[in-house]
Amino acid sequence: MDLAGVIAIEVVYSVASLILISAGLAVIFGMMRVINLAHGEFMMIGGYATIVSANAGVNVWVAMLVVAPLTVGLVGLVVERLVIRVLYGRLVDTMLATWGLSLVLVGLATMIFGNTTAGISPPISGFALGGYQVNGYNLFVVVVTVVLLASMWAVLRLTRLGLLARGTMQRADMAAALGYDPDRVYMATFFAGSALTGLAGGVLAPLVGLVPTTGAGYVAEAFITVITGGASLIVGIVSSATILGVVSQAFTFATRPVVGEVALLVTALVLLRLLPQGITGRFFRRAT
Amino acid sequence: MRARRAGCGASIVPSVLETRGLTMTFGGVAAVDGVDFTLGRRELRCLIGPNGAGKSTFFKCLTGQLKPTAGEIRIGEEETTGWDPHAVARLGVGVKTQVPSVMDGLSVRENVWLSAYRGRGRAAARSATDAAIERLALGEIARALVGRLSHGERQRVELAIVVAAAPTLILLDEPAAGLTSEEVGRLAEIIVALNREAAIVIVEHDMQFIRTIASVITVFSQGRILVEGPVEDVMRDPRVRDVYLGRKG
Amino acid sequence: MSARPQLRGTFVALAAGAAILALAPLVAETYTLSVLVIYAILALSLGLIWGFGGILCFGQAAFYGLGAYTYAIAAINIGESTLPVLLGIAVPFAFAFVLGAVMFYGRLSDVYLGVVTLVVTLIFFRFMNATAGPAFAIGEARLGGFNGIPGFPILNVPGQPRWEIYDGAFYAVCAVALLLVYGLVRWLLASPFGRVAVAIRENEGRAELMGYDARLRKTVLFAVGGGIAGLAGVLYASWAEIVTPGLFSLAQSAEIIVWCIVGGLGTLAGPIIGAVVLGYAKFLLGQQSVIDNTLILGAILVLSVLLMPRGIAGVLGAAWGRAPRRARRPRRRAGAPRRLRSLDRA
Repeated sequence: MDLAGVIAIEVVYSVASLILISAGLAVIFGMMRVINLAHGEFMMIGGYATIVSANAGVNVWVAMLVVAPLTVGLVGLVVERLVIRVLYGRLVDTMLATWGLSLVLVGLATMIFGNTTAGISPPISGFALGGYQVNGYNLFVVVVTVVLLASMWAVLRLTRLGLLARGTMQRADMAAALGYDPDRVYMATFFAGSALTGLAGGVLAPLVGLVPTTGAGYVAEAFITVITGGASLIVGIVSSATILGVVSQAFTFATRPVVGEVALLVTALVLLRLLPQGITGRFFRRAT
Repeated sequence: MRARRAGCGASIVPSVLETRGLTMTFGGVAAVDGVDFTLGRRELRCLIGPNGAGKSTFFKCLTGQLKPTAGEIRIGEEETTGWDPHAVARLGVGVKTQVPSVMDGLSVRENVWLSAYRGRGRAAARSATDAAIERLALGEIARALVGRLSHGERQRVELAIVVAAAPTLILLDEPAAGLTSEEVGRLAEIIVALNREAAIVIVEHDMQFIRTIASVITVFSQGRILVEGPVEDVMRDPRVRDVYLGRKG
Repeated sequence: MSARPQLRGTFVALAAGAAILALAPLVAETYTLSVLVIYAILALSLGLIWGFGGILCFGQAAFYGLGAYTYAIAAINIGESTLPVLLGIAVPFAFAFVLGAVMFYGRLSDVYLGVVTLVVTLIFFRFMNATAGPAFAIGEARLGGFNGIPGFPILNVPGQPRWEIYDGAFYAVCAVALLLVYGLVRWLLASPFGRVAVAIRENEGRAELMGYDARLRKTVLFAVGGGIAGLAGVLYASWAEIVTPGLFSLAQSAEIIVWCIVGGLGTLAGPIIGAVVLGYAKFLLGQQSVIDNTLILGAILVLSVLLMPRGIAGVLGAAWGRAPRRARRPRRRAGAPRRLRSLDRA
């Protein structure tokens, strides 16, 4: 029974972390049809922002929930102005440029922080469930994810801004038709997506030993979750994260973690082959 | 079907193209709704109808670009329902799309050659290419990149692509769109000439143009065939006028 | 249209290439030159499928790594290098064929193509990293996980396992391989198959309406690219005398893409120039530690996408006034260039 509880927590955590790492990418892809391949490096920056500021004496919660999103949001703004804006509408070129950007950021991080592992200890200690030790911080990650999803839903469904965003997702020229400057909408979107990414990087920082190349591990999973999810923002990433998370955890428990990772990737391939428009491309038509 | 001969003295005129109950629905809306259509050998038929009548959807089902929801399509002796466009094309079907679909980065000659080469050898392809370029009067611009040509010239290039394949069934979607009146006149001559070798279906809006080439027309309305018959009769039909003037509910 | 000038152009290019390859050892060591030539072959593989087929593969490294690993594993088990070399080409070819069939018959669009190829590369990378321990072995060859496979027999004269090919002789083999691959690709592109491939890149829908099966043709082209990348992997394995999972890394894939972009897509000379110039730059940069290598590679990629979308070959072509300026700018497909005539200049 205890084992079942532990496994359930692990599965929920793995789904939640997939959602968390994909949210920023999904916002940017959904709104702008831009795939940011520097997404993983944005998370890496969020992680370093958290660790550096926490080590400098900032409260650890402030560091991960405020400093990290703001830092990465600002980085995102700069990137949008200098690179993305120039290439808007050229999907493949954007992917290539952001891939280049990701290499630049890895290189910069290596020069600044070196190739050593940085980390902070989780601010929540574990607890025992029967004979098993449960990582309390994992539960915090789940809570953050749920709050994040709820607020994304609320913004999209209940506010004027959300209405505008949903309109833009359906039709790219909607913002202009409604009298908004698309340039500003895209800038705001990229900022928001980057900030979400920074938040994910910050929140996950205590769980990983951070190295400059950490991002590469994230981008593939986030990328896959978003593309597999398809057109609908929230329903898409929740459904694909659930499928992928459950499958990878099942294989992880049955064999070993690397098989879980490979299973996740293979599942994504199969899903894409069966549903080329993503999971929500066929079954859901609403843009939330 | 290319080699098939019309049975001499046969009582039934063999059809080149036939659809039975062809239906195409998009999210519950039937754009084409149970269409029965028959085209005889060497026949030239125009499809007309107001915007949204389902002509283009019907057309795309014939070419294989859309897979119909229900019903069947027969081209020559093959049942082609659900076939891919390349398989349909190999039956000897030449297609001209609504917006000229050509290879912008290639020269006129390369465009035409690609069509002529399919299913032939190199030598035969060369002469078919020359003939098609000659026929569409593209000789002067044969080496130009198609992407740099005017709309009318691109329309002609696409027709040359169709001609070069020596099709037995030709499907043309709005060939006169965007052409000058002089170009339309030349187009009519070309189509009439092509009709000596192939059956032709034309989706068209330009009534003046239709009168000059077609004897029989089919009127689409709301995904169905409304009327079919000789041009003059159809034009006098009050239902057709209602449809065009939007009086019909 | 006629094949003659094409043929003459090919011979001129091959002769010039052979001369450059023969003279290069005067200015640099053959050890370094060998790997540059290998990079050039690898760049050609992507230059072919991306520049002429419009297929952007984010995982060309998968076929490269697969070729290298296949060679290493087969060489350990067989000893003599002839069959391993052939396997090192055949296995990536077959794998690319199957993968291509899955993607193209599934009608995956550009972005999804990118995702799938990227994911496949990652699967290889992660799997190979996790193959430490005796459980993971193919015949005599242990996969070795993160450390890779060292100590397999290098290339030898066919039938003579003791006559190993290295240094100057190995460079000669690489140079001949590059010329052969270049000639093969030129021939392929001049053939009807190549022209249809370019037609599909230009307008897939029209090619299908003409009666060409775009899915099959893209699959074949993709497989040929995979086979060429596999050959590069084989040569690399024999050069480095070790294969590691790093061959499958995303950075490796990125590098190949950068070579093509910087050199110029839609030409054959472009990717070769890109690979050699950047490969040599990387070699020089590797000798300093002030600026991180990855940073420079990334910066080059960003800047060339932003400032030089047609690459060195495009810039040079324009400078010589031989590149006709386009009056219209049709939408780009898959970042593929739209000029076919560049084929004559490649």
